[in-house]
Amino acid sequence: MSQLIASTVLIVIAVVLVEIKRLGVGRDILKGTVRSFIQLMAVGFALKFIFGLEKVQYQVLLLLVMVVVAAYTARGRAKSMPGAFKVSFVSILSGGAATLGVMLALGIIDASPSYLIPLGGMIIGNSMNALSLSFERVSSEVKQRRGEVEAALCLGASPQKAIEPLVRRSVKASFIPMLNLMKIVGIVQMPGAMTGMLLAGADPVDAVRIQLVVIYMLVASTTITMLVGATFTYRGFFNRAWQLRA
Amino acid sequence: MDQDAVFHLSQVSMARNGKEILKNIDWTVPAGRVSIVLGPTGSGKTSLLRLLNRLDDPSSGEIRYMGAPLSSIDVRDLRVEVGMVLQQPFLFEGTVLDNILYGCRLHGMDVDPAEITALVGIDEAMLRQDVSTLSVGQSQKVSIARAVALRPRVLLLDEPTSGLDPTSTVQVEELVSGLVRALGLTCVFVTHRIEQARRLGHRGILIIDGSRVEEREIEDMLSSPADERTRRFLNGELR
Ligand SMILES: Nc1ncnc2c1ncn2[C@@H]1O[C@H](COP(=O)(O)OP(=O)(O)O)[C@@H](O)[C@H]1O
Ligand SMILES: [Mg+2]
Repeated sequence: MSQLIASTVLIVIAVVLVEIKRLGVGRDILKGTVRSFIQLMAVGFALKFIFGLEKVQYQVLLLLVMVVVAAYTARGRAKSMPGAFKVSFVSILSGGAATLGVMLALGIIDASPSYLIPLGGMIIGNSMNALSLSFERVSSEVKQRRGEVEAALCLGASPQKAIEPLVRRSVKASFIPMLNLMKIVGIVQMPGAMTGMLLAGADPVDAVRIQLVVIYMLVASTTITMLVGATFTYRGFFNRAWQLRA
Repeated sequence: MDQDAVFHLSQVSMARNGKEILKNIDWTVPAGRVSIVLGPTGSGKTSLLRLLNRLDDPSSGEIRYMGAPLSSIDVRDLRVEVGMVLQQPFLFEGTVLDNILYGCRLHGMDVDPAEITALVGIDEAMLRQDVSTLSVGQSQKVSIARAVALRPRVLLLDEPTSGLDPTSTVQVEELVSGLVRALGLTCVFVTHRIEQARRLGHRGILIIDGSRVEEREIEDMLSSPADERTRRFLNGELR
């Protein structure tokens, strides 16, 4: 706790600098500081409480709530895509459940809250970002390439078939951030899990081992989420008569 | 009702975003001929054509295809029988052959690419060519070939020569006439060019501001306009 109190000096430094330069954001920094303190403390206590609940049902419930929030967020970023919430929910859930399932089955992790909640959170957050990205791309591709889609419809192609090349391009593009991350990890950027473990005093090699597991886990869950998402993505853009919606 | 009618439209209207784009269109499309849809830009020609293969549906009125209400026909079957060539070719990534086989692969139909290229007048050597290397004229021919490969009963063409030079324009016109003769195709050809309508069509309708202004032999329509709006269109006052 004394560590935490001492570290507020850093905020004071920032505020003083901002005030000297008259940037007018001093108040905002202070507000943000208080806000983040309250939020994170609340999360900390909530997690402590949840970690105390041994029953796996509660953890599953919490993960489900996280999936709902993530799906809702992904939907918000794909306003032009009807049915985005359902698609997001199903795909994020499949990616998470499959990946955590495999990790549990292989004994990589056990069904304790200290694994399930943080790893689940990472999976859900990453899947959400990848999915939002691919929704955005599909929506804008469809807007820009109505002609290509309708040319396929004119030849009797189903909506799924007609939109396939667009979806494929979008999904492919949405993999790029993840692939880039794998290229620079540990060199340009120290990933979160590893940094956290090092701070907590873990052996660097242990920290790396966990980080690699986390990366592999995210590769699998993101891939599954995106592919499941892609299977359903076409629906919202068409009506029953195989017409592209306006 | 006309026995030879492929399409029969009665009181067809369409609105988009509260704007009336087509108003009470009555029209019969006869089998085995080129029917022209003539009219100035923005008059509703494309909108009308898109109703015939159900890329869009009318807001009111009825469209019959071969005697049956359009909405009672399976969309996929309809679009295989009623091919459409869009104003811009929109070819799929890949080779000319990929494009020609696209529909047939989709529906498990057998087709001889050489036969199609011969029919449409594409050099067989072009089949392996990537579509990104084609000229606009060649692309439009490929998009016609890809529709013809499905052996449609009807071919809808939306200003297929709009991006083409005079030579390619004549080629495409001759191709269309040839297909109608050789295959007994029924063809609906949209154009805003009066001369093109004269070269191609027997009968046709003139659409202005979403309304049908004329429906008769093109030659008669052009030589003795029955409506003041027709006269203005022929004088080039409407573009
Ligand atoms: N999806 C749409 N929404 C609103 N207005 C449209 C839509 N499609 C076409 N229009 C309008 O309908 C009119 C007719 O368009 P169109 O059928 O493309 O004419 P043409 O093919 O004769 O040039 C134009 O005024 C056009 O702006
Ligand atoms: Mg048009």
